[in-house]
Amino acid sequence: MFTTSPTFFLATIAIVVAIMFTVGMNVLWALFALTLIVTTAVAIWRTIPRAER
Amino acid sequence: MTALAEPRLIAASQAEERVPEAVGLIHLVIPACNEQGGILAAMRSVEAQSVQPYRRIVMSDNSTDATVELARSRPGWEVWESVGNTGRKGGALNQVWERLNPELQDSDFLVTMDADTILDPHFLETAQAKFHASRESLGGVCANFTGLPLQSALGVLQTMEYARAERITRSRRGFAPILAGAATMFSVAALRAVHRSRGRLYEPVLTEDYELSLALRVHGYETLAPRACRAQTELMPTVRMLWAQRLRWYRGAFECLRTYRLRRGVRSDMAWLAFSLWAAATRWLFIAAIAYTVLTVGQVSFTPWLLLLFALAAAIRAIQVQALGWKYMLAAGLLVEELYYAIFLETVLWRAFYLAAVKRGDATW
Repeated sequence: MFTTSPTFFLATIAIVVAIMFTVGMNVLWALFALTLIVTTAVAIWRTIPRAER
Repeated sequence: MTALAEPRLIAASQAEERVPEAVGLIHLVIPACNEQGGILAAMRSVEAQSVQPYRRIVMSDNSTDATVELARSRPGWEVWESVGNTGRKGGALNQVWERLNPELQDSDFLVTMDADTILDPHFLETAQAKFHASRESLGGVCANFTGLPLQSALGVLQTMEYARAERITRSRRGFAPILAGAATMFSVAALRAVHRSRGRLYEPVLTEDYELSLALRVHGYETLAPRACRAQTELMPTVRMLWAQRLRWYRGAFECLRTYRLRRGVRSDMAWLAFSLWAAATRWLFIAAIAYTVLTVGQVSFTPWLLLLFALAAAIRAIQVQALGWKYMLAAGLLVEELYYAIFLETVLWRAFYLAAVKRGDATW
């Protein structure tokens, strides 16, 4: 991953670790759950066929 | 615009004088660069159409293999070669447009298709019928794609991805954000509107089809992918090729949207890409958090609500590939393989975002 951009890769790892320590696990779970709810809602909405225009 | 080489072959029927018709004529173009592996199959799929195009053209762009010779072997086709083109596929199509434009009428249609695409035998008929049944604001009609057979896990995953894309299109009442260059019928009137506004049809970008779709939408034209319009396209057989294809698609999308910014008709695309980036980052954070918890605490547990959400997501993913049969539904419902695939695509998405944001102007095809 990011084989041609080691700096970008390392920076990404650093940001992930920093976010985890800064916001804490509970906030992370909540963020993920919220995103999952939104993506699931969008997926449901986009699974319903509608009459063609 | 650079002059073009003379057509090498003109079908007898095409050499006749044009007869005015109420129904617009179809001019079909296959841009091809080193496509000796698929060009004949693509041409045969055109020859098998229930409605035949008025002109059939193969535009070879800097081909060094047998593409031109193979194309010339089929009767009824014109084979052109681009001259001095450095603008990739869009540049070759611009040369075609410059040559065809004076002969076209607003009621005509221009069809572009890739040399690795197989059209359904009724594609031209159904696409043209859609134009006749619609308002003048219809700018283009593209196919819903399925993959050509590829017996591998990567083939299964891409097949499911295309099935989902079609399902999403149906939920949008046939609206297609992108008129895929792999198989699209355009209204000549709509193309002329774009051409008049900027002096050329295609821009020299990585995803010229997406850019043209955006241009049409900004001009107020509708872009549709009716369910009856179908085509098959090549799936990427290796991870490396899939990476390269998607990197080009995603980076092209980011670069186009950067140009268009928040113009009307484009905002939803930008919002969706931004949300996709956010969702990818959240997923990675989630996986990193699980790994961290396991390493420090020794175990991880989920609330029932989260497990319920996972179950719901699995059910939806299975339903989305219902048309492919129970085996695909099972694979989708188990989530695991698709999780790998999703992480792969999201990695490409972020890589594309990085390249579009930082490495401007050095994109390669």
